[in-house]
Amino acid sequence: MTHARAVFLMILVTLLWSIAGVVTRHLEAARSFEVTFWRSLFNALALTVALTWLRGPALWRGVARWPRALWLSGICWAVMFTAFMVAITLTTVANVLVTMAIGPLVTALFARIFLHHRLPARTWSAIAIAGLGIAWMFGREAQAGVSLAGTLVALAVPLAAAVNWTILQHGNREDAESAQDMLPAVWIGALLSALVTLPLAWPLMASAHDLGLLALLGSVQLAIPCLLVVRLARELPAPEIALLALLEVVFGVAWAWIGAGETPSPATLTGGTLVLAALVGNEALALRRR
Amino acid sequence: MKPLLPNSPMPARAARVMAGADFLIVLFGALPAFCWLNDAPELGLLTSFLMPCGIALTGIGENALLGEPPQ
Repeated sequence: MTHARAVFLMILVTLLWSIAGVVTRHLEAARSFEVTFWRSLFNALALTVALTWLRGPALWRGVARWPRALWLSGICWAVMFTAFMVAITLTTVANVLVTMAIGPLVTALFARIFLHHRLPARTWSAIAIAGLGIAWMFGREAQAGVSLAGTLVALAVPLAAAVNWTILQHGNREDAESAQDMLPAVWIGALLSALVTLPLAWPLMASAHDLGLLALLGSVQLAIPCLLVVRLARELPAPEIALLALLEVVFGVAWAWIGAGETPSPATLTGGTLVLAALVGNEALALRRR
Repeated sequence: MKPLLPNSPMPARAARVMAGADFLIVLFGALPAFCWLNDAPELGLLTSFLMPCGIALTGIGENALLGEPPQ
């Protein structure tokens, strides 16, 4: 695959990821945990088909022997899937996406604390600037009396992502052979998320229109980009993927603005700009040093 | 404390500096939550702004003492 093609596909991945917010705003009857339940269920079904096609039916015969790290990673994915959708039903799309964008920096911090990976000054500076951006967003909303529940739930996404990465890195360090295909972890996450949210979603209210949109989210917004990004990780360096992934925030906020009339608040725009500037600076410097 | 890489012993001084930095990072990270949970939202807000600066200064201080890590 050429570099230009890989970059184009990564931009397509961010476009697909970014439709979650605007599509959710067009649901008629499904709310909160029910939205999460259907999206995770459709995602699990789409991944079942895709994984069977990609890895063959033999994959499922070994489920009981899948390593512990894969199951722990699956739990982290379940937290990410659930928290993301619940947060989007509690606060604005822009708030959720900006909060999620700090993921790479939280991961770096976790790697420092739990794995003792030392960080360069550029990453420490990025952590400070992005942290100030999030604090600014929180602070202005708290002063305006806006509920912080949505932003707090959204924080679970970068935290779970950081735990996921730390578990995998720790496992790989202890046993190099355990570095393996992690796609089944995404499948476990989707299945767990659907199972956990089903009782909370009961009685189900989604209309046929809602089910169509949620099937779109589970397959096109989540399953297909997840499969694509795993493939692209072999083609593009990590800082480039992290940089391009930031387009999700820009696209997601734009879709919600254009398609659902959800204008981001000045505090979110200021905080979001700080977070994005910190991440772009950190990743651009990392790319320059390569 | 675990070594930085398998089979590479961490010098005692580096281990001490990193343990101190760990303590400060966790302290700065936990302060806002502690204030919010103890019904002091204004202090929570203030420490939310202090937290990222404190964590970053700790990290930069660690690099000053131990040298910049390889990029």
